Amino acid sequence: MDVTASHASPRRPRPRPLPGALGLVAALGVALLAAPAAALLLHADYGRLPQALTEAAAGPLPTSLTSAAAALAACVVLGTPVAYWTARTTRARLRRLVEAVLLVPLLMPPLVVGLVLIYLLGPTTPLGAFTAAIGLGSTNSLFALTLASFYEAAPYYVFSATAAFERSDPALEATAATWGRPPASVFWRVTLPAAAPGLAVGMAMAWARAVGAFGAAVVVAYHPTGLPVAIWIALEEVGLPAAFPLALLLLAAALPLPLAVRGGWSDAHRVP
Amino acid sequence: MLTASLRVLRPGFSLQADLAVAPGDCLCLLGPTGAGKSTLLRAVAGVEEAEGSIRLAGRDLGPLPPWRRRCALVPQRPRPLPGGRVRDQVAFACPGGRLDAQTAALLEDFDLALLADRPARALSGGETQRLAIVQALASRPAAVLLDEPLAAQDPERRRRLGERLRERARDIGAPLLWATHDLAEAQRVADRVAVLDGGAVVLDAPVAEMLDHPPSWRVARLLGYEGWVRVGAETALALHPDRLRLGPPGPGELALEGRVVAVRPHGGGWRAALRLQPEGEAEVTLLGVPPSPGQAPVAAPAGPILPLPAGRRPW
Repeated sequence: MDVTASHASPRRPRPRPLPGALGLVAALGVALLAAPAAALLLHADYGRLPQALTEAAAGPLPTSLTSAAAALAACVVLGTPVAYWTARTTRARLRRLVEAVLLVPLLMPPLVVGLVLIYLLGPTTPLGAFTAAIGLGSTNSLFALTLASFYEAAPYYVFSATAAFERSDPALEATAATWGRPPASVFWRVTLPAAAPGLAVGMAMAWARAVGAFGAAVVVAYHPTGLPVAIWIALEEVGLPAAFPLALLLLAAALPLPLAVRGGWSDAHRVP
Repeated sequence: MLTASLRVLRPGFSLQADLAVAPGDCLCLLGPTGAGKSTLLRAVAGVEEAEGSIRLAGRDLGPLPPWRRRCALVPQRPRPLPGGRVRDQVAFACPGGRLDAQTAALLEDFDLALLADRPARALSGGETQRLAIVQALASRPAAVLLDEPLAAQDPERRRRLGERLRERARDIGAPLLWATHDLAEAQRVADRVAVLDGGAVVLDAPVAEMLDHPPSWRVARLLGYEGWVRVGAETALALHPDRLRLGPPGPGELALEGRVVAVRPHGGGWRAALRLQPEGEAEVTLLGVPPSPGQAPVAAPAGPILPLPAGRRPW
């Protein structure tokens, strides 16, 4: 039957070769980006790895994973509506203003973000007193570390989520509305799944930023110590041989999520 | 009853249309690309801004958002929703969000039953179009708006599904607005035909009478008139290839003098190109034996006479 014939085997597009010069430049780019990881793998003292693992597991690793997960959750919960609004609003000037606000954490050196956070969250400030009173703590708390990671990660998530919502087709949403489906239903069934690949990429980038957050973290949350701060301490107190195994651990902890997300969704992307 | 009196103004384009469609009836919007057919449908559905009034079954649709209008739209280039099998996508369009027996029958009607468990994104263009039709009908609409709904189907399916689509809309009892640029399709499915050109309704007539009174040479052309013969100093008779005959005139027919200049196959019969006296040319559809070139008597029924200044041609 003809209806099944066209689906018997998935389409296999012919491979399209990259123009020669472009391929060369791409290879150079990959080599340059891979160099730090290669140097790390080459120079790490693997004998120290078990000891580093024991030390990290006792504090910095769970601290980093917890604060990064909480920061990522905050990025998604707070950032998704912002991204959706930014992508769909017709108020161009207000949109530019909001985008400028979102750019600020990206433009400020993380160290400065940390210093500003002390003014916001210090134990003597109203906000710090409040968060301490409700049990979240002020500076030098897991909450402070989460907040510092959030500021470093949020712009990456919001900008990539905005691009994802801009790509999802408003005509598709309009058609679903004519079937009598209210906006909320269309958002969950049409808009969000259409944007999901882009949201996932945004989450992957935000996760990587949050796990690796150092500049703001070292100022507002020296304790509890996350992995990046632990690396710095190891470097200061012992030197490179102690820092590199921890850095390896950071890579191993942070990479799986972004890799899984990229792999899974980029396959789904290729279908049309 | 669906009644609309709409105005859409955009830079470089304006649309002005008044229409009325009874429940279960089909009004075909016929017109060339860019005539405003899609804009009109989208304005009725509420997904495009428009001024004016729209009433459906006594309700004023004007202030209502699309999801309260219940005017299901089949867009010109439908796309499947992200994710899910074909049956899930149809279920989403159903009022309860669940497939019932009636909706499952729709999948059967539009040749999708065998594809129901496939991922919707794997469908071809024609299959996606059929999915959009099923989704629109499954939503239990108060009116159905079809934007060239069968454009991506092969000719056999086009005929069969066109009639079926017409039946299902009649079963629902919803007024049907059907945009097409295919005259034959309009004649198969329409009760009334509105010809749209340049953003205005230039002809609105029952399907049986739509060929009788084209208001201009341009509309006559859209309706399939391909020939003309001068009958006065400033007037000419429009000639339709399916309404001309070669031979002596019968009662009520006009006798024309012509010459067959070319013959080519046309469907199961022939098309002959004619030069006419005193001035004019036409094509005629013929069955049976192909005519031989040369002088021939031509019989024309009474038809539309339109102004044609001396020395000019209609097209």
